[in-house]
Amino acid sequence: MMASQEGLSTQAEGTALKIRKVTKRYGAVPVLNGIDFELREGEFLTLLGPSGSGKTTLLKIIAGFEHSDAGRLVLGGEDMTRMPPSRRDIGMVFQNYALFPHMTVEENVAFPLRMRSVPRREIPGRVRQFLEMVDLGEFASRYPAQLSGGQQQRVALARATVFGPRLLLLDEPFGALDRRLREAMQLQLRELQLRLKLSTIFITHDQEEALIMSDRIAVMRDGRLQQVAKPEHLYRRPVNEFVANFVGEANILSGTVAEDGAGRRCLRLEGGQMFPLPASKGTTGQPLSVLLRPEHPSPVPPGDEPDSTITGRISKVIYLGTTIKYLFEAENGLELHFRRQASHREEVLPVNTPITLGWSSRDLHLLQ
Amino acid sequence: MTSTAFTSAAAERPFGRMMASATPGRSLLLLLPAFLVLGVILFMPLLDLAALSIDGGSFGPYVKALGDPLYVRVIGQTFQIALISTGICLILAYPLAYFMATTSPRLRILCLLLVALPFWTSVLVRTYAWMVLLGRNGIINRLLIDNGFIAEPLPLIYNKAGVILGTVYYLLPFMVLPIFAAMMRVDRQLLLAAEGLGASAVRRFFSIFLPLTLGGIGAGAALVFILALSAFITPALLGGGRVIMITNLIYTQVSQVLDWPFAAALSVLILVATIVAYSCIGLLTRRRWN
Amino acid sequence: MPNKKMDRRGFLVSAAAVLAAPAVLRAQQVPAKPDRLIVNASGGDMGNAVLDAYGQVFTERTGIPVEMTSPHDLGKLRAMVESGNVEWDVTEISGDDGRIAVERGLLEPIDESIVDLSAYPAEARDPYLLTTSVYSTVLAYRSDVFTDAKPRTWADFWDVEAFPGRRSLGGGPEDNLEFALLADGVQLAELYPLDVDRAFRKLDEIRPHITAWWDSGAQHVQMLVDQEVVLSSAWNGRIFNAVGKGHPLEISWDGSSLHRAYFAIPRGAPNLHWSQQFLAAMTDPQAQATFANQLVSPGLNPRAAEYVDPTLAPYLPTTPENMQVSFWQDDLWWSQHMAEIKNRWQRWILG
Repeated sequence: MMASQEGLSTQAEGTALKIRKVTKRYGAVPVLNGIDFELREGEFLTLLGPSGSGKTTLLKIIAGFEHSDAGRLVLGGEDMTRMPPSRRDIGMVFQNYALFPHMTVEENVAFPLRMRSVPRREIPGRVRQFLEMVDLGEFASRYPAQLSGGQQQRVALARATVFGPRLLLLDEPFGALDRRLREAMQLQLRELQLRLKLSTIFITHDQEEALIMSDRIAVMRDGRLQQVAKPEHLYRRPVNEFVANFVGEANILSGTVAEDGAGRRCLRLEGGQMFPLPASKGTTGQPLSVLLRPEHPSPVPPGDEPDSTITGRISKVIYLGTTIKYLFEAENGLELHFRRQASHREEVLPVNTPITLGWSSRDLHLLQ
Repeated sequence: MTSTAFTSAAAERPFGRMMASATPGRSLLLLLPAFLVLGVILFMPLLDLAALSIDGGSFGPYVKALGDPLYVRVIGQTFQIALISTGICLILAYPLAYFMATTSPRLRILCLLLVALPFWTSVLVRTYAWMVLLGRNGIINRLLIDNGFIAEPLPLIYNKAGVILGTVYYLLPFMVLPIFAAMMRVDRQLLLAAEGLGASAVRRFFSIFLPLTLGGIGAGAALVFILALSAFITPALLGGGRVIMITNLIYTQVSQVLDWPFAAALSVLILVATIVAYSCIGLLTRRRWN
Repeated sequence: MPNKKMDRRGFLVSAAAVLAAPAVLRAQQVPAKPDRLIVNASGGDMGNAVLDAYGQVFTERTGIPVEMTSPHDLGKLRAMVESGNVEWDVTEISGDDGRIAVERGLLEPIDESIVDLSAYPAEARDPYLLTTSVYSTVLAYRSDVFTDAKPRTWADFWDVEAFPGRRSLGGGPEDNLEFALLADGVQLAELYPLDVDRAFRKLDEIRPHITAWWDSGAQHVQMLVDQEVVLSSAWNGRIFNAVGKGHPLEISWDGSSLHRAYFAIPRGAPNLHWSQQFLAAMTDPQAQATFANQLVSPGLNPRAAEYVDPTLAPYLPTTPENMQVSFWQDDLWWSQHMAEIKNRWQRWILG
């Protein structure tokens, strides 16, 4: 499967990190297969993928805790493929924070400075500045065990950034936090990252978190990079079914390319329905899958005539507050879901309501 | 009694947290049976011992113990041997425990078995084994002489060195096991984190690993020190009758001279000294951060 | 009485005067039998021999099984008696420990209506302590090291020029003070009361040549066998066994120290009648002979000699030629001076 990388060469900023054809196996099991991408200066890039996709292994290789079997890592123009972790100048926030339990907050944050032989009198000021940046000024003399999860998280962040790392790595740092804290932390991290212009690689399996935070997202599956793109691009133009399903909700329609009576290129489903395609791509008879995001299909108002329609009934209603999610079942058994903005002007459709859904062929995105 | 205090101090944090969530009143109530049992089987005899030592309402036995250079010397020698044995145990046990904590699980189990092996034989048998091993015509001296390292056999037993060697041998597991347990509890990720933050191997050891295993060192040192203080058979056999430890002195007073108040006074003195030593070790290796 | 060297002739005369005591039929009511009798003695060979020789006779007579425990310990005896929690029905309590136990009232008197001592020489009869056997601390040496001139006396032991080599002595003052005085020229009959100062002065001479002060019977044998030392004071039974196993060891009876192994009943023992019965079994001449054959440590019932293996005679401490050059250790003197001398000994050891 090919990884698509849009617009890399057109960017004006410099490159912080180059990852070239990195491959890793555990015994006979390949975990990473020719990973190849670049991180720009100051960019926030998220590695997104289900567990087992290889994202943590990749992060460990970047940090230097593991070595790749093949491929190269270039950090700021310097080849660091074989450089020991202690010399890489990379700040890392671990999933469980990995704070030193026997050191106070202050000592934890001072640790990387001491290891770099920063002059003794400069350390307290620097530590204080970073602790204040993460709102932990008053907690300097506490031990990690005396802090809440969110506070520990912030200590870890301060510790990973205080020494001005060339790169910041975060391994699912918010996994253990509750939803509200998680959202607050996401904002705070992004703010800090922008302020310090930190080139950052962030790992998550939560697509929503990835969409919120990232400049670009790299989707991984089974040790391969699927697509590296900006969030909106990834959402609108996923390269394949996996990405389409992993990022956001998706209706995937599969069938073959056909031509209708009007000479338009169409997708013919197994049941025989034909839906016009946005572009005249593909040859007749070729198998094809298309993506239809749930915000696109909508009940067809009287008098309106979209180029694609299908009739059936509502089979399930999920009320989500600002939106309502409907499950639709066509007469021939095809299932689709669609969303409506909740509005006091529009009644919630009850289950079994007969309905005709319609969309524009422009809303369809062709998948590989 | 005292050893449980240490192991619980070195216990894992999650457990401590779990317990902290219970109300203090209730946990005290749960401890009541333990307090009662300890009170009856431990503190009563101790009080009895203390009472016996001032039998007849005088501190005569204490004056005798602390006023006579003989006894002061025996007490001093006892502490010296216990201290040296503890130190040697620590030096040997720490790398061994480290190897065990970092090696493959299979090798680890093998090592654990080997370390625990001495527990399964009696002290007496082990001590006789040492006599065979370390004697003038013992295996070690034979090896050294046959290979031309020495001309005359080394005096390896029937002196203080022999006592220390025997003590170290039989107490080594008590040092290895708590340290090993403490090392197993160290989160490997902390070492990775330190490495990533720029710490060299040496600094990772001294800044992270050593402080985090200090609890195990404390527990091991306390166990070994106290057991070495009360060693009896080893000094009697491997010391060639020359190394008199306080327990030998107490035994003589109890069983041969029948001066029980004096024996009780010596016991109380060694108990007090033990508590003092214990507190010192505790202070040195305390985990402030929990 | 026992503080004097037992006169050989007296011993033989009283032995000759013995008549077989008629078995006394007792019509008294016999107390209930316990499920077992606990007999406490030195462990190892000694305990086994007690069980084989006396335990067997006792169990045959009474049907009560015997359980052995060890070691014998004066302190423990005192603790049991004083706390009223006596576990031992019968215990060994040898040497000066026995005397101290008598003095402190820790023992039940022997009931001579049950334990028949009429055949015993007067010197061997005691109201509390039953002398069950005699053993000796002798001079032992490696016969493969001393092939021409063999060490014979304690003066030889002290003579490191004529008999060079590493040495060992027991780890307490008992026996050692006597040996030192003998080495210094004191006559056997004039040993007691011991001239303690003189003995310690003589001990000073030998101290640098002592490799180890042995702590137990097992230890001195092992040191001799391993050639850790070539000369040592030693218990005759232990050396006899080692020689039997083929080790090149020999002993000299010259100046050897005769000891009585005592058995007695702790005060307040729970099955007093059966304890007395056990002591009675211990006077059985055949049982004593069985014991003597195992440990070369004969009993004092003169009739036992009839049953002892005659080839063992040279190895028994009570054989006339051996006794002639030996002395009885004076338990009473030791029990009266133990505390003071023990203290002095420890001080001297730490030097």
